[in-house]
Amino acid sequence: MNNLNAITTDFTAKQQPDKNAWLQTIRDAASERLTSLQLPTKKTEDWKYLKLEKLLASEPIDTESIKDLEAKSVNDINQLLAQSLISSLDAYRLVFVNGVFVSELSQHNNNPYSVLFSEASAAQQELIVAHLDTSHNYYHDYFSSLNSEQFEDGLLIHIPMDCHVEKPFYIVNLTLGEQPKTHMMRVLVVAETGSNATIIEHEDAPLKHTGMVNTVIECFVNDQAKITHSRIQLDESVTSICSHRVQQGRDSIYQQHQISLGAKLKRNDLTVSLQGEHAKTDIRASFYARDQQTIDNHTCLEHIVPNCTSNEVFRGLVDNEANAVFNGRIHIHPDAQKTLAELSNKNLLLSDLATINTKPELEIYADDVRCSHGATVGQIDSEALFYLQSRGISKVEAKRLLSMAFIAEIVGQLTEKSVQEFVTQRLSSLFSSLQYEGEK
Amino acid sequence: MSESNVIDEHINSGYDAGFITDIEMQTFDPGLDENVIRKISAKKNEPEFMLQWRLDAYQQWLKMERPDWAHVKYPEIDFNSIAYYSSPKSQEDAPKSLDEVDPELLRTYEKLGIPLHEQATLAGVAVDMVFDSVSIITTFKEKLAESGVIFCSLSEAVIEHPELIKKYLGSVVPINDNFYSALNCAVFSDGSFVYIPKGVKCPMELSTYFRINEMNTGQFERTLIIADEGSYVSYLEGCTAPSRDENQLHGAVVELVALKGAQIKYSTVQNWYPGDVNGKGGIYNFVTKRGVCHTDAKISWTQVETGSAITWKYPSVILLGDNSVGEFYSVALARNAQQADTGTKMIHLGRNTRSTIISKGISAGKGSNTYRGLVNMSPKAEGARNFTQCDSLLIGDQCAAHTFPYIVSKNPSAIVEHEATTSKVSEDQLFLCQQRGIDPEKAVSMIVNGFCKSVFKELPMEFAVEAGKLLEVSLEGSVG
Amino acid sequence: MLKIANLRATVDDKEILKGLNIEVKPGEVHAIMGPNGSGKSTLSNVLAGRDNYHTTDGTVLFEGKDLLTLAPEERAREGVFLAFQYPVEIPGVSNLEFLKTSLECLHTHQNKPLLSAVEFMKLAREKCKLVDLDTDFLKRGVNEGFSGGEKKRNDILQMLMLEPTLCLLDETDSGLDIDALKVVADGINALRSPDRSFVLITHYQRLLDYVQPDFVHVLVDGQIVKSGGSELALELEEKGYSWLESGTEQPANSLKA
Repeated sequence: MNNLNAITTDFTAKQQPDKNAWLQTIRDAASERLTSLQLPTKKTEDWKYLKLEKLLASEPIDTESIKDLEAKSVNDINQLLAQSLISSLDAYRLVFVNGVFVSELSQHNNNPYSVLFSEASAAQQELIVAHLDTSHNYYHDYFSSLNSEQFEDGLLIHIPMDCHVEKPFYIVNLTLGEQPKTHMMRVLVVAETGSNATIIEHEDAPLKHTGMVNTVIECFVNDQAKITHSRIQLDESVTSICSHRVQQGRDSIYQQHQISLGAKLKRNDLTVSLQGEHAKTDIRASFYARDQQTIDNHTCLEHIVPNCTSNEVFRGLVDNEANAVFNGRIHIHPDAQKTLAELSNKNLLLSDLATINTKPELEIYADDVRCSHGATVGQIDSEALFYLQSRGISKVEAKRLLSMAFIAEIVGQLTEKSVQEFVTQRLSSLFSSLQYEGEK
Repeated sequence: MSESNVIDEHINSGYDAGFITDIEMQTFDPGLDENVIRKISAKKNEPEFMLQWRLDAYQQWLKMERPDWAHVKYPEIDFNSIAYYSSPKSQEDAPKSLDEVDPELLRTYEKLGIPLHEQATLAGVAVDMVFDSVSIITTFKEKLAESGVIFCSLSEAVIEHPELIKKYLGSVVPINDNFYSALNCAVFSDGSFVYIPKGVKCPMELSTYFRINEMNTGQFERTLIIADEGSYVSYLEGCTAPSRDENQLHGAVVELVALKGAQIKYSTVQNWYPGDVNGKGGIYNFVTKRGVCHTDAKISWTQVETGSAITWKYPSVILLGDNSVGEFYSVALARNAQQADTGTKMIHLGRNTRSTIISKGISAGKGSNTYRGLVNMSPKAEGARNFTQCDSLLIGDQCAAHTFPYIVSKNPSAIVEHEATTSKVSEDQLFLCQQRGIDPEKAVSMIVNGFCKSVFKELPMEFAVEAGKLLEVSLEGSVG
Repeated sequence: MLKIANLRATVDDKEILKGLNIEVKPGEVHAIMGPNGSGKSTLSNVLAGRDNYHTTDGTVLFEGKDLLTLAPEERAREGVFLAFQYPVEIPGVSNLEFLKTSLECLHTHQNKPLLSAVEFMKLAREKCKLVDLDTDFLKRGVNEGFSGGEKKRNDILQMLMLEPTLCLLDETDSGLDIDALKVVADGINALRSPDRSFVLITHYQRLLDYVQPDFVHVLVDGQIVKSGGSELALELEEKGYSWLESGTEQPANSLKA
């Protein structure tokens, strides 16, 4: 319980005074919610598989590395960090370090679409206030409310009507140094009617420093708009809780591709509410958890109006003593006739001590719908393993290749080639550094 | 006739078993305390160990909280407004043969389509009749005894076979397992007991027919089936109750023990009074059913659930021994304002254990049907397999269907596959049938029966037909 | 037998049939051909009585009775059979059960004696052979997991069993390989008789190589624009439909092309 108390204190400790006073109503509402919301416990259905105590279990601090870092000049540090970015990606690059925007690492010339909350114009402030926290129609949870109460600054991406933004937005959040507090990362995307944009989010910890991040992303995809969203979570050393909410209008398309590595604790919540007819949602995700990592994925598709389509594919690879959770809910509201919703979750357990908990859920209140879900848990196909072995590849190497291949299918669907290459390279170097049983 | 009219007509049909038997009853005053438990135990002349077991359960129950995780809504139950024991006066001296049974009781069962005279019964089915809190009579007892099979009321078993009761009662569903099972342990009145000796294939189907008749009573029966090594038994239970405006509580516990190489096939046709179109009345069916499979054993649950206002039951199998097999086949229909939250738990502990789950949920009217299941592959369940298929059929736009499967795997060599789909009786299917001259009423029941086929085929022959008919009766007024 | 006069019909408030006239006499085979979207399937669905197809004007007389007032199953019992363009699957309902129920409904209505189980099985086996379906198909769910060709043959099997007086075949030939097409054609030819009529709705002429029609009608934009003998089908095969679509938006352009 001490740890839990510590988490609460840590999370709720008031952060520095707020420059953005115009956000006060939103913060007050969040504070108000927090009086009734509880820090989730094992009895909270949605959090039952997560050991929140793990959040604060102390980890060895890499003092050497931090000393090293402190000795460096800002320029040197930036150069070091720049190496972890996808440099070949031609994009509006927006880099945050520990949740703070770093202009030197960013490339945002001629970018009329994004602005920090702290630099927002009156009109932008109005837009932010009109949207922030309004996508939480279905439920408010503890951590996102904390974020609303305490985030220091946020990023707004606003795509005007009918505007097709050619360059992707590349949002990077790097964790660096031993952090005594939790960073609150806040992103708001408003895609106006008929607009089209690609967003790539990249979370990383280049020096494998530990830290805690509480992220809230809200994404409003208005009528006929299209957002392609890639999320690459490579920050294995960072404890992170992320709440991601999407609201879709008529004929809109929202695509998400997600590649996640596990962490001491990683929690991803994704809620998509389809609020306009003929909206389409497409989610492709893959995660890999190893050692004593925990990854907890919760997705919820709220089909509120008729004639919408959603398709979700989630693949999990769980190794060593890792614990992974997938909970995918499809909720068909009474008016949502003619919905087509599909969900598929496939998992491979790579070790005797790994655990997967999967729960695909259907909650259906309309009759003329076609919904299905499937979930499987198994191990690497022994036929395939044997085939590779018979071609002279060691069992360990074969296992590595097939694990890689299992994730690669999702990686291959990332829309930007340079991102694909970057992820593939990172994953293969991760996999080749792993030692498997029986391997010396 | 439009599709919606047809369906309206189907779902507003009656309930055939809703009559009341007018018979003199001896019923306890409503209320629950230690005294009531002592009185129940005394009524049954139970040995001291049984009374202590009940009192222990009662103490544990008092500390437990009513579960609220199921996807059902109902008002708080006042456990002191329920009478916990009710039996026909004529049963004071337990009748030894059918000739001694009150003819009014016999007529009740005849009316329900269960002829009791041994020569008139379905060939090869032995029946135990439970009326409110007591077992009326068990047929074919002598014939079964010839092969060493014990089939009697649980009350009788407590007295006649205390060693088996002591060893197995509460061994699968512990006293404090859950709120309703703990209550059952404290107040259970009667039920069936089956013991199949080593290597014996039970020569006939065994069956228990449960009837709730008295007002304001709860029925808390308990069934215990022990299949000794290498034996086989097929057991079927049926249940009905009068149509009353008050809700009545049915809190049963069923325990199955399949020892090494034994097989138990347990089938249920549950047709408790479901309440009226507006959800008034009906049975609250809160039941705990669980079996344990030792090495090479197999337990198969098949259920057809058409009745009850609320169903809350998860017939489960603990696959303890290596190579053991668990099966769950279910058809659950929720129409009018019925709510069903049902499914299974397959707990794989042994190596190479196998389980199959086939669940067919039908929601009509304002009914709400939930499949809730758990497949758990423990670290030792080397090579275990599960296959689950959950299909929901929705009829009408005011019903609901939910699927909450929990899958936990801690063994990489275990394979779990889960599939779920939701569909409706499509206009195209209905039109094809009509274009071939079949009227829409018949077409709907044909399509629904087809949907359930993979479960019906698991029922013993005589009951498969009955189940199909029951579904038709539940879905429509008449069947051609 | 069938007399369609000035038939107008809408689907989702859009007028598809715009005053259609056809008369089919006993024993005749009529082919209705036309480009995609001309209203061919609408016609078959209107005749069979599917929901969502609303007739706004005109009459359809079948053996003197007003077909449009009858429920779909009543039309079937009167002897109108529709072979579907996309036969639907009914999982779990066996073909056998389905055929038996259907046949009993028809025979009861037609005051014919019901077949005994043995007679029924004999008949079903016999007809299976005719459409080259293994009798195992009878035990499987209606069209459940059947290939496209098997579904079409299953429809023809039903037609052979039910012996309707008017057979409407809605693009039964689409998606069939040559062997399956022959089987379908053989089924139709086997049923041809002086008191039974056929309406073959098709996009291509190839089914007509095997089933010789007495009349060919061209349906364009909800109306019959041309009628003729079987030679018309060949002409259509050669020239396509565009030459008949004059009067629609851009006749000059299409002629130039």
